[in-house]
Amino acid sequence: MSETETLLEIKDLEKHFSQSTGWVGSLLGKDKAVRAVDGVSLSLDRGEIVSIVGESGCGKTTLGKSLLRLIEPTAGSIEFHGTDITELPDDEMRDLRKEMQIVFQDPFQSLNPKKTVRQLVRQPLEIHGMSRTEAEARVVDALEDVGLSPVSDFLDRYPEEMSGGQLQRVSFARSLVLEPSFVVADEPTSMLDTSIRARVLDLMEELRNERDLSFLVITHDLSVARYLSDRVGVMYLGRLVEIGDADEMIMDPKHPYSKALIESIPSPTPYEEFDPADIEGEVPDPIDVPSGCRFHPRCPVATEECKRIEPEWRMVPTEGDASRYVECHEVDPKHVPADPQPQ
Amino acid sequence: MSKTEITVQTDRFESTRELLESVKRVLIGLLSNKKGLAGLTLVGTMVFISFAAPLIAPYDPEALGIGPRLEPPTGEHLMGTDDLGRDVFSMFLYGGRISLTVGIAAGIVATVVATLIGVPAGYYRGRTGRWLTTAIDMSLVFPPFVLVIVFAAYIGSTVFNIIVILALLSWPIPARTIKAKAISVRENEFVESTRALGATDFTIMKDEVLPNVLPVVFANGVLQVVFTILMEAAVSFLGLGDPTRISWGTMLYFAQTEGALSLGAWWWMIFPGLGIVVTAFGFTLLGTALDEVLNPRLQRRTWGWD
Repeated sequence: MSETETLLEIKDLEKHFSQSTGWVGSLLGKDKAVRAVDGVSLSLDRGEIVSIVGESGCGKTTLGKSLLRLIEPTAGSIEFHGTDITELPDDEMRDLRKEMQIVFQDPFQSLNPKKTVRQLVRQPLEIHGMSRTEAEARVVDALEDVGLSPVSDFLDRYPEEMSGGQLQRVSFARSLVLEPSFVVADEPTSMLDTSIRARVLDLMEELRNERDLSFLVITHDLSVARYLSDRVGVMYLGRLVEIGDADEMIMDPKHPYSKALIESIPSPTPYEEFDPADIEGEVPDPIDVPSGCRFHPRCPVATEECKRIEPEWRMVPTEGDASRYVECHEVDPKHVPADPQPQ
Repeated sequence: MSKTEITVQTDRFESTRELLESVKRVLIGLLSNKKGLAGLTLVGTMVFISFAAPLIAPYDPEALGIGPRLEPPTGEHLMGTDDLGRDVFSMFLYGGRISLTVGIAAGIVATVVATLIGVPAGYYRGRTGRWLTTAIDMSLVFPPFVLVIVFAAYIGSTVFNIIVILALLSWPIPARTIKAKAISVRENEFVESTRALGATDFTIMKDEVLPNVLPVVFANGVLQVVFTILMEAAVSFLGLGDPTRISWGTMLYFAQTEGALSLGAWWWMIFPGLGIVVTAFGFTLLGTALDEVLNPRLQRRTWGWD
């Protein structure tokens, strides 16, 4: 990957959901915001697959949706092909959606049950002004590309007449028929049986290889993340705490939270003693984010410093991974290169 | 090559075919539902006899002195005669035309208006939604009956005017129901997924929200007809209907003013009254049945009971 082209560059993206306490509350200054995404920076190359992992409620889905502006971000910038899309007017944004797509978690929810496969996959093309006859030909191709064959068996079926795996392929076809260059896949396999899971993952890999497609995969499944992605990012309470090469990250996590997350995967070998991570308690409420490092109340290695000072997002190259970024005071800073590349 | 053949074949008539399919499905559903069957029969009978009135009616409904005055029902005059010797049966048949036309037309117009306002009121979250909701709620405050009387007195009570007035005053209640349904539909993920494809709000409302709201629209529309039929009768009974046309309401009005009650001419009042009651009852049954047929959850429950 010597020649890389940055496709997407997110800087300090924030999404705060305000929780109104009524006008009396707002007079008293008690209005609070849920800081679902609280300053995430991330860049994605063309043809790269990046996974975001984290517990439920850490803001990973909000991140995925707000970088497509399905949820309007509160602050920060999203540069796609070099243009900041956060300021784009609605009509230009609608045009741009051809380029950036999303595949939702549950195809039974995200596909209108009253439409046939033909209508579902044709719809995006019609939205972007293609005539029905013209669109039909593309529909057949798109369904073949996602491996639904023979296509004629599926064209006139309704969602309820299909299995989850087949439907998820229809979702992919519906997004890919527009030929986007970037796709957010929000838990693309979590609703699927294990037997079908690998096939959908392979499909994504294939699409990346053939079309140079970039994916941002949102998942809570570390094995999916490792299998599929080039890089893995770990999110905790609205922030990325670590990101790096997928294999290296799983083998050698640096941030105490990443360590805990990865250690919590039960080992398949029964001889090894299973020792889940030594973090305690629950994820704090994203309304009341802890001071300093937001992980400190649960962190096994937290110090006084962690309670007061927010750690910086800095590059910490490891032996096998030159592109590791970590946000933690306690990770050995000795490896910081003299001239860190700002990301 | 074979692919393109498949696609072109079914392309042309897709929407028409689908429409016919769903009409057929709904009809079958109604016919196999007890209430639906009863409702269809009642409404069908009333519509048929009213619109076939020229063929069925034995006399000219407006001809005076056809028979003796105030004669009780006989073989010659099935529903008797009124104080001017007109045949009540013929008047009943012709009167149904106006009652049904006004009721159905006003009901349809009201339902269309309710849909056009209710769907965006439910779909839009921000200011647009709030404004439309406020508009609906404010319209709901006006007492329709009083306003019908005022309007009818001012702009004149032709059949057309009555239709317009009734429609304009009766849309807010169905609009609220439709709005509530639209809110629940907009929360579906397929709405967000269509937005992610780059669809405009209009396209989303037309292609995603409306088809899922339509069952509520139809069921409400039929019940709306009941309301407008009753309103028309009430307006005419007060003497504010179109004076040149016979409707069930105007028949009751004349029966009332000419003292049918004190004269003991029960047939003069009972039959037009029955016309209104039977029609309204038929439409109510039809509306309830339509709700059951179009709403699978209710349907399953009735199966359980039967």
